[in-house]
Amino acid sequence: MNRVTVVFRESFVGGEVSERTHLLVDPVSNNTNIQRVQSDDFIGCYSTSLPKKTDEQSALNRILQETATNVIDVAASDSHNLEQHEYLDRVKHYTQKLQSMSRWTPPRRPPCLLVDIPAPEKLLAAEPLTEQDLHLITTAIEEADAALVELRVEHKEDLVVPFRIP
Amino acid sequence: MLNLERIPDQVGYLLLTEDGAVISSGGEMENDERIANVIYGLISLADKVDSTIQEEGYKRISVVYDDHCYVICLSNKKIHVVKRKFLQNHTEPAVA
Repeated sequence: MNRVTVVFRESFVGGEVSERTHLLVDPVSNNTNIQRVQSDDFIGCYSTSLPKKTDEQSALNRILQETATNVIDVAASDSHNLEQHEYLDRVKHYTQKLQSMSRWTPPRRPPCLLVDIPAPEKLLAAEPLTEQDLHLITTAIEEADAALVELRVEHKEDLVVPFRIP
Repeated sequence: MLNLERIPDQVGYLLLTEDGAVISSGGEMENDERIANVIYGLISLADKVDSTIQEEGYKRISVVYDDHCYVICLSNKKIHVVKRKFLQNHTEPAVA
């Protein structure tokens, strides 16, 4: 990015930069109120004049208010103590309502290759794969791989045939 | 109470919910969410199981490497994963 060092003199409008401010200083005249500004700041100067500061403040306040309304304070909120009988009553009530809807089905769970088993320890501790199975799998895959390599097209007939229309 | 640490030759374990969230982990698989995600992706890969081969689903899935293996199964709505190292004296699993 090209950086341009800008030297300008203060405009007559109370020290603020305006569109009438000269970008290039007159080298001949000597002005004591010369400021050196980098081009980046020059663009920034236009946007951070005094009225904008209050906008920033109000924007910050707005964000603060939004967050305050959206935040859920778990520690401060009342713990909803649901009695056991109340809980069971509600369960019954809700399931009744659900059953009355003819077309409602429980939400479909994501597909799972595994089936639920009662005692996993025995299965987890057992030998994962026998040597015979491993050998079977490896040879089957090797043969399939070899067969895939030999796959090719046998040219029997022409694909494109001209229709001889008299 | 199920104790995955008591399984022989185990060097790590993971316990996940049915949705794939990690409940607990230990050993070499401690805090390994990456492997947890890979394994959950593995078991939820297929839309349905081929009914000619297997009716409902599989009881156990093993990922077998040269010197270690991961054994995965589902029980009580939780996914159990155990990483086991094979003993030094043999490089291949024993014959059944």
